[in-house]
Parts: sequence; structure tokens; C-alpha cells
Amino acid sequence: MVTINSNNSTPQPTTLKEEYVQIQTDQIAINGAMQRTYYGEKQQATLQWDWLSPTDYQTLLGFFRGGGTVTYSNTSSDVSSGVFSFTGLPIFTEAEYIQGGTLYRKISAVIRQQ
Amino acid sequence: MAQLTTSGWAGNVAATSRKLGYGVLMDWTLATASGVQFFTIGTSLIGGSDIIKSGGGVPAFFDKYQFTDYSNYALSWNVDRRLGQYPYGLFMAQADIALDNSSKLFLPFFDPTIGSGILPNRPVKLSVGFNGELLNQFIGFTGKPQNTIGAGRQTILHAYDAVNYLNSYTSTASGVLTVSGLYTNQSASTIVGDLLGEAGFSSSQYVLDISLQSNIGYLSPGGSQIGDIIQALCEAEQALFFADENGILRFWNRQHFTTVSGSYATQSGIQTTVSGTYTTFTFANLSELNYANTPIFNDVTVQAIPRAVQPIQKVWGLTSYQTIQPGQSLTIEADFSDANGPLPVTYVQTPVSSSGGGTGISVYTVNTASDGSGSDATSSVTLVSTSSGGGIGGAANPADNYLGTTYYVTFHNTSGAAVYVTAMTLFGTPATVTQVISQRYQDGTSIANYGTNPGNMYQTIVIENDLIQDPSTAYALAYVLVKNYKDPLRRYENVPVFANPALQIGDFIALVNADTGETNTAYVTGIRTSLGTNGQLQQYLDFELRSFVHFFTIGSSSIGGTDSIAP
Repeated sequence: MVTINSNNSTPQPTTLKEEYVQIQTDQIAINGAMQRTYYGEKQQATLQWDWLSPTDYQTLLGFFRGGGTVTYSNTSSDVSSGVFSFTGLPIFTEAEYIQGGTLYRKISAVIRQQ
Repeated sequence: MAQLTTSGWAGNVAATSRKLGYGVLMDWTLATASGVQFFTIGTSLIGGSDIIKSGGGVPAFFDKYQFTDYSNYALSWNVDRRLGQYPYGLFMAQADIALDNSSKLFLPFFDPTIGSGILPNRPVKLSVGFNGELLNQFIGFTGKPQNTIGAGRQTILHAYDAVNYLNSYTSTASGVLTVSGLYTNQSASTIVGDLLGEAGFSSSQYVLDISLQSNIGYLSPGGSQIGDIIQALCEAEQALFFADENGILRFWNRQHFTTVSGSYATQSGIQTTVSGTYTTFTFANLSELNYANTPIFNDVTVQAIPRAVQPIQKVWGLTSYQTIQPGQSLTIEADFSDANGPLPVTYVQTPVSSSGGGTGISVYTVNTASDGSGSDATSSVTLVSTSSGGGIGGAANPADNYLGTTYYVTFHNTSGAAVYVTAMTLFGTPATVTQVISQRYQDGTSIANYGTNPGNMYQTIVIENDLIQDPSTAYALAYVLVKNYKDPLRRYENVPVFANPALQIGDFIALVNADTGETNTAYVTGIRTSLGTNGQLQQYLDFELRSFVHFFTIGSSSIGGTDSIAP
């Protein structure tokens, strides 16, 4: 189960991608040899909600607006421990409303570990 | 010689994947590190551990600062250090640092702890390394912080190393080894050490190679920037002066740069042995190879008119009488000069009345008649003051120590009638020109192939430096310059390499060029290291192809062996 800011009423995402972003730079030599300078990794979750009721839509906006950090947790993750959780900054986008169309809205968000 | 590292460093550098570490340390408040104490008269022990504070506003010892780690705020930094056109002189490293100021921590007067210290001249240390081993890349002082305000708040800093401090430090000729404000008969390296001491650096803060020419007979440092003085001294020996990555000031003589192994002697007498190992670059650890040719110099003339202080002798005589009206004062100006123009005189004996007798001393004669036929009028005048001019500032000085090319004597006529100074002779110690040096070296083959000095607009190169003391040194300087630049050596610039933070200016490297099948030796003339977001560490090198030279070292080299006699 995915929760944001420990809120058990967090709408569950339609698609979810959890990953460990590698902080690294690779340099290629003339002969194609590669050397990597690695600093560490950051957790990142990419979520998309396709059908959000106005209430759920407003709930998510409440998490993401304001520029502050959010706490992400997924207790059903595919990672070895089964739990993928971290605190990070969200980057979100809202889908447009088309006149006469459904009131169910779409939100996409990337939450990256700070 | 590359920075000292652990035994595992080479493996970390060469590894396919290495874990990056870095540091950005600053002391915004100029706080002193705990345990560091400043020398206090009456309390501290001479030769003890307390640090002498420099006389300037910015202390000279980096290690005594209480640095705080601001690495988490670092957005990027880069360090640029490189030689000039010639491998001698004085050079300075610079750094640019961008800090995240979203929290307004670096906004002046915002943070209660450091806000009042968001000012220029703050010490900064930058380091980078792999697998837990960090190496300093830069130590210096920042300029004025620049803050951007808006959605992306940043604090931008530009910093200079300790050489910049010396460039703006004016000598007051107060070094321990100065005598009457002068250096006389001291080696260039000794003078450098004394100037650094005047600027507040202790002997642990610098390492000086020995000078390779005769002692300098006369040098008046007062009123000059220490950086300018050191630049002139370096040029006179083709020596190099810089601050290394750890803030240690180094004076390298012209042998140091081209010696890849063996020993070289330092001012402190310590013989340092270079290991002879060097970094090899191949097409497997560099990304591009762009080269240019070095400028060709095949005709160089070195000129100098060195001076040395002479024993006390007559330095000036009055040529016509001077009238002192009753109740008035008169200042007589004595301009010292010889065939070489204005003559610096380091000491002038205060003149006394000739009526007292004596020879070989400064005297003056006062008479009631302008032609000296009257009676002695010494009792009618008093010598009010003497002072110097044309030296280090011309400040009035009643003592018998003067530096300069002009001397002023002021008399006052206490009588009711005019009197005449009919004679005055001054004795002092002049710093006369010992010889006029001009040494030229040309390479005929190079001139035939390329013309005379195509790297200097086909003009003869003339180097003028009065700190060069003897013709053999002048010849050696011309010889070395021509020898190293008579052929178009290949110079590689802005070569992106797999970064090795241990590399330093002057390091020897081997370059294996797979295109040509050549293996060349070169030395590093420039290093630019930058660190950006997502751990992007980049390093660009400049290097110049040279042959390794093993100079003959007493006690180490064999007579009749392969080691070269140094020029």
C-alpha cells in the first residue's frame, strides 16, 4: 500500500515506478573505455493517477503543493525488504479538463529522495 | 611529484568505478580552531607553539581557522591553476564555488551565527577524492559573495590562493634579515623566506629550494608588493613560486621542474628524493587530444646591472655656495648619482662642522663670505634636520640611516646677518653597479629552420632583471630558455582525462599515443578540476612534452655517469 505523508487515505496510483537513481558520471575515453565516478543513490518514485475523483484530486494536491517535502512509503514494494520509503521533494503535473468531459482528473508525480 | 596518497590511491584512480567524496569547508566568521593560540608578549614562549599573528587584516595561517563543512550546500566548484607562457615566475590558482542558498544561510545578516560574516576574504578549502580518501584541491580566500535572489537562490564565490595575498601585501622592509631596510648579500631563496615571514607565514608554511646563483648584493624591498619582489626573484633564477593545493608556498629552482627523479636540495637543507614514478595516459584514460606547438625562441639576450653596497666613501659634494638669510632656514638637496644614473645610498653620515677638523667624514663649512674669505660662521647656524627622498617614501628620519637617491639637510641661521654654506661633503655607503651584464645565446640550426624567434614576432628576446648577479647565471638563463624552446615542442591543452586529484603542476607524465605509436614524456603545466551536479567530476590537463633530466647531485650521482650538469 502506497501512502504519502503517512496518510492511509492516499489514493493508490494507477502506475508506479520505484527506482534507485544512481548518482554517477561516466566518462568515455578515446578507445571507448569507460570510467564511472559514483557518488551514491537516491530513491525515486514515479506515480500516475488516471482517475481521480475531485476529493482524491484535492487530497493529492494538498500533499504536493507548497514546495515542501513529502514522506513516501510503499509496504508492498518489489524491493528486497518489501518496503520502499523515503522523504523527498515532489514534482507534479495536472492534466487538463476538457469541457463536457469527465470530472475524473489525472495527476502525475515524481517524488525524489532529498 | 603528485600529492601524497595512500597505497590504494593508484588503484582507486584506475578503477572502472570509484566512489566519489568531496568537501567544501569555509570559515565565515574567521573563528580560530580550538587549541590554537596566538603569541602574546609576556606570556608566550619564544620558539613555542603559539602562532605569531600577521600584521595584516587577514591572518596567514590556514590551519588555524575553524572550518565548517558546507559540502551539502555545494552546487558546483571548479579550480583552475596553470603556468604562464614560461615555466617560471609566480602563478596563482583560482576557484569558483556555487552554494545553494535556498535556506538563505549565506544571506548577509540573516543567519544569527554566520550572517555577520558573509563578507570577502573568508578562508575556503575544496577537496575531492575516492573511496574515502580526499585530497585538497584548493585553499585560499574568497572574494565578495554574490547572492542571487529568486526561485533559485545561489551564493557565488570566487576565490584566490595565498599568492594573491602576497600580491597585495606591501613590504615595509621589516623582515628579520633586513639591515637598515635592505637585503644585502643574501640568496634569492633566503630573501623569499624572509619576505614570507614578514607577511606572516611561518617556516612550516613554505618550502624553498636553494638558489642557483650568487647572493644578491642589494635589494630594497620597502614600498613594493611582496608578490612583485618574488616575481622578480623568480625571473632572475627561472624559478617558480606558487601555493600548492594544501596552501603551502613553494619556491622551485629551475632544476626542480625538469628533474623526475633523484634529489634536490631545499633551503632548509633537506634533500628530497623524487620517486621517479609518474602517471601514464593512454587512449584508455583520456577523451581528447588537442595539441598546439610551443612558441619557438632561439635568440635570447639576458641583461642585468646588479648592485652591491660598498664601504663608506664620499658620495656627494657641494658645487656652489648656498646663502642662508638671517633668521631663515635653508634646505640643501643632495642628489646622488653616478655614471649609471640615480645612485641609491643606504647610509649617509650626518655632516658636522668642518671647524672641528676631521677627514673622511661628512662635513660642512659656513662662512660670512660667499667666497670663503670671511670668518667662520659655524656658530651662527644649527643643523635642524636631515632626511632622505627617492627611496622608500622619503619619510623624515633624524637617524643616520637613509635609503634613497636624495638627501636633504636643513640649516637655520640664528644670526642677524646672512651666512654662506661654502662647502659640504657627504660620506655614505652607496649601492653601486658592480658590472653591466649582457649574455646572448642563439641556436643557429633553429634560426635556419624557423627564423629568429617566430614566437616573439621575429624579435630578439631581451630579458632585463637587475637581480641577476653574474654573467654565468645570465648565460644559463638564456641557454635554458633557448634549449627548451628552440624546437616546436608539442603542447597539449584542455585534455579531458579520467580525473586524478593527486596530480600537481610540474608532475611528469607519459603519454602513449596509439595513433602515432609514440610514447612521449611531458610535464603538467595546467590543471582544471571541476565538480558538478550528480557527481560530475571533470579534469582537464595542459602538458608540454619534455625529456626527463637527471641532474648531477653531489653525493648521489656518479662521476662520469649519465646525470647532466645543471645549467
